[in-house]
Amino acid sequence: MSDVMFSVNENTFKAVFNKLYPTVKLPFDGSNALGPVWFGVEGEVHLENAGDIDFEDSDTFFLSEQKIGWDKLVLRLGFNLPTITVGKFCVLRMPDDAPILGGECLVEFPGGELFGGNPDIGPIVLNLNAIIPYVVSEISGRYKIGIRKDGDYQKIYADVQAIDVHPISVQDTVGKLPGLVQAAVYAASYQMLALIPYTWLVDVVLGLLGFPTITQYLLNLLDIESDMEAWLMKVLNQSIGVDNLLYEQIFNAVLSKDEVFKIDDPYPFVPEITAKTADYGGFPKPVLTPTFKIPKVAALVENASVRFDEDNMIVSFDFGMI
Amino acid sequence: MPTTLPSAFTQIDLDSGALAGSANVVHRLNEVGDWLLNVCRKEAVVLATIRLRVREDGTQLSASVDLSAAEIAGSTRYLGDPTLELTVRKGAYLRLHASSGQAGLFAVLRSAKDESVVWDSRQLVSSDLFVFLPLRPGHYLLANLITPAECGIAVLYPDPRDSIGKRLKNPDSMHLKVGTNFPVKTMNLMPGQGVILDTRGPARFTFVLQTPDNGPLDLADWRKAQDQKAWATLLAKHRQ
Repeated sequence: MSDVMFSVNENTFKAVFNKLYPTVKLPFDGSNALGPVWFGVEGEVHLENAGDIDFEDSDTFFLSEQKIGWDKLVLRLGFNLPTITVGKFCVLRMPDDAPILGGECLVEFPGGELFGGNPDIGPIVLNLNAIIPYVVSEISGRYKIGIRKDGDYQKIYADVQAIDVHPISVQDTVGKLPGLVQAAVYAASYQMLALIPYTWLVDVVLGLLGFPTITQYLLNLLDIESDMEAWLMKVLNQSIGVDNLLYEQIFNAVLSKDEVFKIDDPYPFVPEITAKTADYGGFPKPVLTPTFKIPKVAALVENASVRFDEDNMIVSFDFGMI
Repeated sequence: MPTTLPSAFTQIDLDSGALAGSANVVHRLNEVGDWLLNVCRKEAVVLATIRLRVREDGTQLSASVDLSAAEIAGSTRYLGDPTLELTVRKGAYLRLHASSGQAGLFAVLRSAKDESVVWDSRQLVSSDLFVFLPLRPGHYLLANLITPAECGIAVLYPDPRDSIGKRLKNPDSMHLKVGTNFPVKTMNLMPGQGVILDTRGPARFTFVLQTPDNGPLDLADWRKAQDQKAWATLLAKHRQ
């Protein structure tokens, strides 16, 4: 049996955790190319309160439904259009029955190439700040509880063991996303028209590509087949892998967090007191030392431990002599 | 970054005696010997020289020379220093073109021994080829300025309504043997359909736009309607 033992229940622990662990703004950025389209993202998030905390057996607890608050979300698009070769053909070919190089092309007309840039179009900026209230994302994580001596304290830490950033969900209930996507596609169309500034050449190119308009060609490259929410979620979660970008930032942020609780070590029972000598009796003559100090009474904290027991965090320690 | 449109797409009028854009000339090197190919823009002004060696045992059966690249290389050389040396087999084909610039370049082939002129790209000879790629829709006049002879060519507008859901292929090139006259008076071509003129006598070909074809007048409205339909379909799915 320890000299001291106290418990903290889950609700109190959650209240303390939610006061300490929400983070300041965490900026992040990343990019990825997927076929002819390049995606870049720039964002800023912060951690909000945890939805639930469950104490597990031994020394871990599981945190779920911790919301990620979005402060900034900007998507960038670039198009590396497939190179189109117009009019490449063989001018002179060796006869098939020639003794050498039978059937080979001797003189080739190279034709002309379009879209040799990298990227040809972009970056096109989609400022998604208008829809960040509808971007839903959360994390869950497992933390290990521990107690360590640090200076004049025994500190109880929640050390992160694992974090799982859930796929981002977009619920554009006010319908702002289509307008943003349309604006981006129009911007990309203008840039593509700058590459092929003749209307007749646009129609030649579209004929070779098999699309009636530039807009439809770009929508096909972007792979917007179903609704735009599904497209944006696919871009953020799969094409860019925002969860990995967030994971790194959040993991580092919670890793640097301070203690959840702390206990003075040495543990003070009675503080140092300055007392008046006169208060301690009727001296016939005035005393030479009108005040004196009563030293503090404290004990070392020894054998400190912390563990979970059902719905309580149990902290225990012994007192030792200074 | 946006790319510059190649001159093959921007140079509309073409001339076998002033190469630019998609205009190419092919000449066969039938005689063994050492030759100098002078790259010129104006009479008697040599911009660059290329040394050609034609050998019985040469391995190359064709060579390609970009006159505009040679002109740029020649600008940093002493006059007469070859910018390029090529060795080809007897009977090899020499393809001349100019990948940049619109002013037009020509080439003169001389004997390295006495500098006598043996061929001038401004006057093609029998078995030379003039190869080009019409792209801009419209009505053109193809002419041989030497005989003279003419042929009307219509490069048809690629109306997207004719090819909905289809992907056009580069059409097969048109091969014409041209003697004193063109074998046809008029013909239609698709944009990007190559033309090979196989000369059977002296020739200098020009291909000049007479009337541009900017496509059907209602095409812009059709395109707008197509885009509106595409967006409406997407928005309908978004609302679901």
